[in-house]
Amino acid sequence: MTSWQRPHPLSIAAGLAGLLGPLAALGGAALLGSGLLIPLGSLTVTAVTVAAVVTARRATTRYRISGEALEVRSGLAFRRRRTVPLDRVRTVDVTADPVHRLLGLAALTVGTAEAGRVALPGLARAEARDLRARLLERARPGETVATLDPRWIRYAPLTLWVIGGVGIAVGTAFRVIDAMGLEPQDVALLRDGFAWLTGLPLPLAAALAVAAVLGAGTLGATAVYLENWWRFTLQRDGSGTFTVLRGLLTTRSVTVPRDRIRGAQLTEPLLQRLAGGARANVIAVGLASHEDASTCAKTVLLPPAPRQHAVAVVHGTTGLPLDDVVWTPHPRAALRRRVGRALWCVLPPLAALAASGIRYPPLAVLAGCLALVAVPAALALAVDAYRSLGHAICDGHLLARSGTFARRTVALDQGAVIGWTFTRSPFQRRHGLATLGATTAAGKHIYRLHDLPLETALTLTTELTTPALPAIVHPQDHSETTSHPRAAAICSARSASVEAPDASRRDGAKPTHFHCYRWSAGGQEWERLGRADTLDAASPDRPPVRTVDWLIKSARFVAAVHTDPKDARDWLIREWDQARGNALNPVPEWVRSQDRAERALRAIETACWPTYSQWLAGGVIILWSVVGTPERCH
Amino acid sequence: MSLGPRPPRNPAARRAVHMWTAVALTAVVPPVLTLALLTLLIPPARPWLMPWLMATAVLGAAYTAVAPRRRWALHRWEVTDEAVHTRSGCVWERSRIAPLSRVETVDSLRGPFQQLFGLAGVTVTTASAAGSLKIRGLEAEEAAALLDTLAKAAGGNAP
Repeated sequence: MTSWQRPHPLSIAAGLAGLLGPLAALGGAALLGSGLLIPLGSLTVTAVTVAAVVTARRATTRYRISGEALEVRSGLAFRRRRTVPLDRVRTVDVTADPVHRLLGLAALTVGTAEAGRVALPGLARAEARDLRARLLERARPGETVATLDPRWIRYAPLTLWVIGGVGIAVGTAFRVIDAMGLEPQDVALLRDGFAWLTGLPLPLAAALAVAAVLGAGTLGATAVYLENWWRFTLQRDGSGTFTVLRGLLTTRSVTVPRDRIRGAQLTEPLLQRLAGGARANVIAVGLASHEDASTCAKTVLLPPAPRQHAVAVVHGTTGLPLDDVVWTPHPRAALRRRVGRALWCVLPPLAALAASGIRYPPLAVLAGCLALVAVPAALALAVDAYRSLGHAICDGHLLARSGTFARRTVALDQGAVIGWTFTRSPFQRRHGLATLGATTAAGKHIYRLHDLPLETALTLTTELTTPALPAIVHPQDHSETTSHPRAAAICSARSASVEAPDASRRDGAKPTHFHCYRWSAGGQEWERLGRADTLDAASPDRPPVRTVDWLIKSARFVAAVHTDPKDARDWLIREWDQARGNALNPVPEWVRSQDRAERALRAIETACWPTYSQWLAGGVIILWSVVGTPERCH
Repeated sequence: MSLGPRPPRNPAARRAVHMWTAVALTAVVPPVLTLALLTLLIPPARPWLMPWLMATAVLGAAYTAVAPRRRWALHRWEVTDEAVHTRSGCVWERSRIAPLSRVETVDSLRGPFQQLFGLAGVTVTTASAAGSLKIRGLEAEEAAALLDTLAKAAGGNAP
């Protein structure tokens, strides 16, 4: 297609169709002789002007694909010519509004990474489809990675927007009524409906209202899901470029080339998480910044679907098996922070309600009943938020997990991190915590690891930045830390195995043997040691949080040495199993040792050195770890 | 030993305390003044306006006395061979680190308050929208020198 093409002749009719509404209104007003003639008249003039501009642009639009670019010429007074190289095309949307649909037309919108959007309205539908295929030819669809399974629609209503959406719809309806100068009780339908509802017994009326809201919300959410995700397919070509095709009324497609991908995110909103659902987003550079938010549909690789599918998609994009990642939990102070926040949200309103019970006792009873529900719920959410917290470094990625209403698991390529921010509130300063932000040019531009021990935050910054930043971050000279006498005694190859846990694998130098560490402490001791500001970074007395903490411990904490990763794994699982019987909080039945064993082996084999821990009855904590070391160790 | 990221070496100019005091005053004075006027002009409302006025005035005075000094103490910056490092904040403490190899643009910026006190600021941006570092309250020549150093250091980086 090298000759210039023009939009379908009917497209001018489509452009003028926008006039119909205002003209009809004006005609109606003129016939009825109402006082709205002047505002409707000015509205019509505006519409005519807009329609004239739109029609002129459509009448003068020409487009062609020549060589490696899409060229679009348009404009009468201002001639404009835009050239979009095909390899810059990121998104292609084919939409058809009702008028377009009636006339058998469609609009094509091409989005690029840098040059904004180019719209081609009023193409014949077949022509639009053909053009889209040509534009996407470069990312020739390869294998299909995922397609929509109609059963996934069950996740559509599992969002709080089911209620919020109905609230917004009802609010809008009332505003429209208000804008028309009517009172809600003037509308017969509303008045009668309300009278009928209030005539019913209270429990029945309440149940009906709740059912109506939930029903309408469910319908709405399902409709939105269908419009967005019907005919969804995720394809991947030989070069690793992902293409998403989707949409019921609007057919959308997004192309993300391999070299723009910097990571992936798994999002589990609370209700979907309870139902075992999750969605996957890509973290990429060059999808214009406002489109990069994790909630934006343009970055979605998989709509809400069973979790294992989302995990598989993340695995396919980043190479990370999320389910096998060994997460480092964050300190207990982070739990206190969350519990505190939850109670601050719940208790003051309850206290206010209870206080007003002095004048009107039923309110105090109500406050008591609410407290019975709200306080445990808030605490449960706080504990859940704390359980969500975690971070890990695996396979060249920084992993961060947090959130309770929406649990987000982010895997960000280490190479994409271009700076760091530390934020410390007064509470965090007191408890030796920090929120570390990794800044990047991709996705949300900053990904935060909440409430890390300060020490871990510092280690992450030094270890993940290239070139490393020891002089900035650490109070003392870095070389001093590296040559810590005890560290040298245990393992002379510390830097090889510590600074980049997967460096051994990248260099092809497999560990030859594995140190199996065991360390324990009483509760008070753990609390004291856990305060990062009480011990310096290189102290061998620190609780072993990082791999380096293990390595600088005295050799007496090495409980066993194995040369076979399976033996090391068996040791780890045996130790953990023994402690399980004496655990402070019983480990649930469904946590099966053999699952843990599988994951532990994979972790050991991928040099994500696993650390297990268990609080025992009597307030003693034991930590175990398996750390591989290269040959020159002893 | 406190274990934060090592504090950057250089503080802002001492005069920056005055600048931040002026900033604090512009935030504190209008509400206090409004409340004072209302208290003065509406006698019937005095019994309940007075406590509000007192509270606002006391809190505002405390903030104006403490916050600028705290800000000055926390605000520090440093450029090493490897990176730019800044720290700022008042209640929340924020440290930012950007390796020099990632610096894209270096701008000088003088807002009305900095101009009033003859101070200058430098903003260092990276490819991340969330990663810009702001150094405030520098002497003009210090800022010019810093701008020069950073521009040279970041010269090789693609914008």
